[in-house]
Amino acid sequence: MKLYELGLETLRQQLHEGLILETGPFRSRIVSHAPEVLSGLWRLYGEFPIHTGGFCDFHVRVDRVSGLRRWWRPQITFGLDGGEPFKPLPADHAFASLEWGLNWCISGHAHHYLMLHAAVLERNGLAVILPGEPGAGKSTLTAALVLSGFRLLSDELALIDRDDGLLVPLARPVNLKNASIDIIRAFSPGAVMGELAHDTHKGTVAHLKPPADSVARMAEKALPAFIVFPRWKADAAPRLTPHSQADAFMHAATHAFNYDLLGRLGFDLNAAMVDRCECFDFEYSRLSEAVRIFSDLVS
Amino acid sequence: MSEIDPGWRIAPQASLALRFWDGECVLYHGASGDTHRLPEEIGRLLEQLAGGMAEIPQLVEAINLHSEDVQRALLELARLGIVEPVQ
Repeated sequence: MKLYELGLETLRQQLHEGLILETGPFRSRIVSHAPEVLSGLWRLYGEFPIHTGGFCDFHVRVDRVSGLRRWWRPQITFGLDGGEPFKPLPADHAFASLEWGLNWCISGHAHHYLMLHAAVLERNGLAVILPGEPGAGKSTLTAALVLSGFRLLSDELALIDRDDGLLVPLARPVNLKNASIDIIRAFSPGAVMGELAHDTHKGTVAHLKPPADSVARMAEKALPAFIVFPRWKADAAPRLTPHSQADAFMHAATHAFNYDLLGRLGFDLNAAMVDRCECFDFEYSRLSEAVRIFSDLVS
Repeated sequence: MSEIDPGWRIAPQASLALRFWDGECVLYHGASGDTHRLPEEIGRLLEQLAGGMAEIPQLVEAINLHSEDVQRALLELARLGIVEPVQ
């Protein structure tokens, strides 16, 4: 069953009792009374499968802090398995908190994958991995590519299966920040986004709804084919230049969530990924040109 | 050199893995859990030593580096616990 089939009122009730949401290989049981979580899930997760029982990887809760805080500058907390790993946040950050919390659950626990900090997209059976330093334009580029027909695997977490070295999809919403929100609205006026959360530790954030096709295919792993390091530069002509594979390896290892923890297995999985990939730096200023270059790359 | 320095080998517990790409290599050092990015020649030197103990002249011939460079590399690799002189 898909989430939208519940209807809004039943979704509200399920969230009070525990909604079991499937995102890629993970099932999360989410409890929340926060209206922001209800509206965010309703708006962005409609195509995702839900379940009525069975094993859940993560038991999470996003709810308002009780006491005086309930009426004066209300706050929410993110809970995992009864604990509260983070400080409370303003109530209107509730949906963003759920998204960040779920990322944290995966990156901190799913050690049966090598987990890299990178976006992953796919077209024609070829996956493009986009590592990127903060501010490099990774999420903006990811959103533009997804809105141009690329399949979304993830905007934050590249999961590499230890058995076959393939990339495992999550297909969760793309986290856009600050100026990139309006850039993507201008790029694709029909793009569906969640509500804005202002003054977060990342500035203003909004989440982009993943395409239905990406969600429908989230059990379909992808073959690593390209590692592209994007860099947005004002007025730059789009330029794809070779990037050292050894450097790509080291970058992936340094920015992985669990490379050190996996030891030799992490080395082997990372090396196998780099072996399979052509590596590039990509400088760009216009999203339409970037989409054309990436479409050529995977054609 | 060989009288003072009879030979070098991979440290017994080093547990190494090497991968080469375009003139560079990455080395996994299992004993420390560290990963190093190295010039290809140093990777080739480690490959030579993985085949068995070697003296510096043999390594110089095998990997086409100056003796001083080989010696410097061996000392640095020894400092990291990756290779060791044979006593």
